[in-house]
Amino acid sequence: MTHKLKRALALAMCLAMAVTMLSGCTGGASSSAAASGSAQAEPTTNAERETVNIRFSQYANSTDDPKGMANDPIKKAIEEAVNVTLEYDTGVEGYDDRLQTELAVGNAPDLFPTWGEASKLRQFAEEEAVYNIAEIINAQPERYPILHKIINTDEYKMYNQMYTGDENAAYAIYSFSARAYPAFSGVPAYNTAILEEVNDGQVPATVSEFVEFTQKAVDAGYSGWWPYNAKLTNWAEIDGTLAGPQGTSLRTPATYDWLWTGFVPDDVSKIGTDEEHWTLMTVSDESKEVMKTLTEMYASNAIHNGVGTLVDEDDGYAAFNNETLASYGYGYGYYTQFKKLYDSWMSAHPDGSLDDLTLGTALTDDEGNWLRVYDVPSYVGAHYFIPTSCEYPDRVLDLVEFLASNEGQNLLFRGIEGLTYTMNGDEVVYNIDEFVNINKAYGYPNPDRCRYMWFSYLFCASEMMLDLENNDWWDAVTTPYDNTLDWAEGEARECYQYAIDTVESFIDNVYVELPSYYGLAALDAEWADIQTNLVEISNRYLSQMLGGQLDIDTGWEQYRAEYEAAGGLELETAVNDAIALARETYG
Amino acid sequence: MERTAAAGRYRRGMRQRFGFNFYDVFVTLFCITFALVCFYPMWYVFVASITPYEEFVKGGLMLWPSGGVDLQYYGTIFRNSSFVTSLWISATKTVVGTLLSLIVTSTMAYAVSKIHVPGMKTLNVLAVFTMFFAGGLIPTYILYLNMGLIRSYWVMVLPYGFNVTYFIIMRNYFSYSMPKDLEDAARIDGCNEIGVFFRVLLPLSKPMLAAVGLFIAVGFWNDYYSYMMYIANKPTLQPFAWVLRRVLTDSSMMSQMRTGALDLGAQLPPPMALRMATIICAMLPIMCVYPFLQKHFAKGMLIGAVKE
Repeated sequence: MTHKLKRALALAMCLAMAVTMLSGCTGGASSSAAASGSAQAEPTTNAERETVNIRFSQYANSTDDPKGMANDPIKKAIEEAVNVTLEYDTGVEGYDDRLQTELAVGNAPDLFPTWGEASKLRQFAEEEAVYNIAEIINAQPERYPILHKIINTDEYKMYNQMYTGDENAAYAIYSFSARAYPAFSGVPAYNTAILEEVNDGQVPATVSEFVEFTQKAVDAGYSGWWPYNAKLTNWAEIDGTLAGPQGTSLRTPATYDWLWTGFVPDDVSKIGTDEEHWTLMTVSDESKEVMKTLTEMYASNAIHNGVGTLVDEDDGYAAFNNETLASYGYGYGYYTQFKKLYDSWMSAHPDGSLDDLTLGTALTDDEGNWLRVYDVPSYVGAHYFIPTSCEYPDRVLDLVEFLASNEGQNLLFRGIEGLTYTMNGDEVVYNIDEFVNINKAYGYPNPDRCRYMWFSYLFCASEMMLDLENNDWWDAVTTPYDNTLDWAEGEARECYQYAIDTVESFIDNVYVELPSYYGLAALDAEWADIQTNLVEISNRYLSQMLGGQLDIDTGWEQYRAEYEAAGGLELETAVNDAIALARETYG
Repeated sequence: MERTAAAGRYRRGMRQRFGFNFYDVFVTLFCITFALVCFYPMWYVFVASITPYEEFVKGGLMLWPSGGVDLQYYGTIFRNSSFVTSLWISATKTVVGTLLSLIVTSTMAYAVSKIHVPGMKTLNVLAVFTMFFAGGLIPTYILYLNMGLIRSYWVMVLPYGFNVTYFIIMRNYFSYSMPKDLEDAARIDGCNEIGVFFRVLLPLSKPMLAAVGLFIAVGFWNDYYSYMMYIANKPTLQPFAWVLRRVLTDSSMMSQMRTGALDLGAQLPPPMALRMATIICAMLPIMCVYPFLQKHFAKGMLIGAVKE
């Protein structure tokens, strides 16, 4: 009886496996058949083509307002132009897992992004999980004139070659990231009244002056500084403000960051030559001294004690707004970040003005050596894929073609004529409030960017307008058009202009533009685990030291030993080798 | 030896004189301290949610709201349509899911407890097998997809209709804790099998059902994974646990809430205070259920623990 039961059970399981495998095979065949069928479509305009539903996915938007979404005029305009219906898909937590699962089961969105990881592109291509869009576009150049032009540029083909070894196979739309202005961390903004009260209105220019200022603020009953990080383990702002000017870095190389994060070049003038060399500074003696300063600051509330316990930058804004915080290192990634701080201040102080905030400067050390920021001006920031489970990739590409056109870009960055902007001769007159009303439905109520919340990353990861119709792809993506000073007016414009002018006054001393090949330098895959481990070691030690649980003098040697044993020393060689290889290959 | 005997006499003496000894004092103090350690975080969250933010940012130990009670953050939450909708979704899926799970699991447990019925042993093995070997995410997703559950309300309810852990507890309860004579008596009185189960056994199993039901309900109330993984972008189906999760991790959600407050003429609320108030809102409904089930709870906790 028991034997019979076991045999029956085993038979049932084998049958179930066989059925599952067979159903998997038929599923794949039907979708490719549908795809090839749709490629033979004869109509010549989108209006004549089949109306399909396209699910488009983008990270960290919101779809909480169905009413606002239903009334979204930009969405309607895109749908009408391409003759499709759009379904927006988004998320934050679990987003990547869900996307991977949906991709694995053949239920992925029809157009979806990744963060531009080469490994994922290769994996998707090898698994045939995504379409080779070059095949579809090149088969119908008259249907996709802009995309055809884009994917056949030398630069696009160079990326194809780098990703898959085949310059004619394009598995994604490459979303390029280039900024109209340099971006970096390490510039504090001050509460003007507190600056006047404790420092006679004098903006700190050196690290020592800044530390002294925060201490004076504490003595007067305020917190000194919120370095734009919710966690004690987000070191970018601290690094840019205090460590960078002193020629070191507390940061540790991480998989999600630039290869050279935590490194300082031995000689800036040798960058781009065979003699360039970078030294890892994370566990150096210089970093130890910076850590001592930081620990003292944190113990005395010169660094706001909410850092590490409160959750995000809005908590920092809240402390700044209620005038208990003297300075806010708002991550001078952009002038838009300063505007965010300004907007937050104005919502808490409706009678306030721009004068209430004083924008600081990047700091120097006592010898006048500036903070140095090493950055590449442009790089691929995202990849957009069409999964092979999509039954109408040609229609999805119709959508992409439309969005690449000037008409599409106009919709994304100017909106609807008569509603979000009007034309005064050649001049565009924006109505930013209407644009904000549209974006509000997607969880972005801030009046600090004039761009539609969806598709804005599709070609340009810095979310700026491109003229792909009249320009070569490379020219267009490396010189995006920033419309901020066009749409901003009144105090908002003044705010942007103030931030841009302030940064321009010192930017040449600070910003070091690295050759483009730095953006293509990569470590071998096995370094990922080592980097992750190093990040964990740094976070553990530095947090304990900052919080006062570990004495720096005794703990630093322990930290250095563990860090080096975990591969810190070898990493320096590997990074320099990777940069050298990139220089030889792409330089 | 003499010293031990003397100590024993002293202990007896202390207990006789005062009614307790040092051991009692130690145990009591330990229990009070432990209870405080467990209770204070919840109390802290509650106090932070009603404390004016100027006071809250000063930090330190908060025992009660200094600077008055400020309920504006609760107002902000309940004026947000996502919260109200999600509370309704959570409440319905908890009630429907718990009832469904209790019915499906208990009826199957009763059936399987009848091992003399052919096939019940096999059924038992198959049920328990799923406890040790799950299909994994992708097969599960494919199954739901083929059943048409993806992006529907029912994906948050139906898959949890049968719960193996509680199935084992219930099966043991029906097998070992329920007197067989009771079933025989019911049959003699004219009940069929369904009648025996629903009219005799189930009413007698109230403590067990209350305890198991509470655990299942808490599971449904706290579940956001099924929404996150299988629905994701239907705001009208968001459960409250997911909204809470987003308030804690998703800046666009926080931004939406704060701006909502501004639009209603309130001051821009600080994020941490909103988070605290949201956590309290998430905890309260399920905490309110406990007192009503308390009388069954202690009894129910022992169910299945002893075989007779």
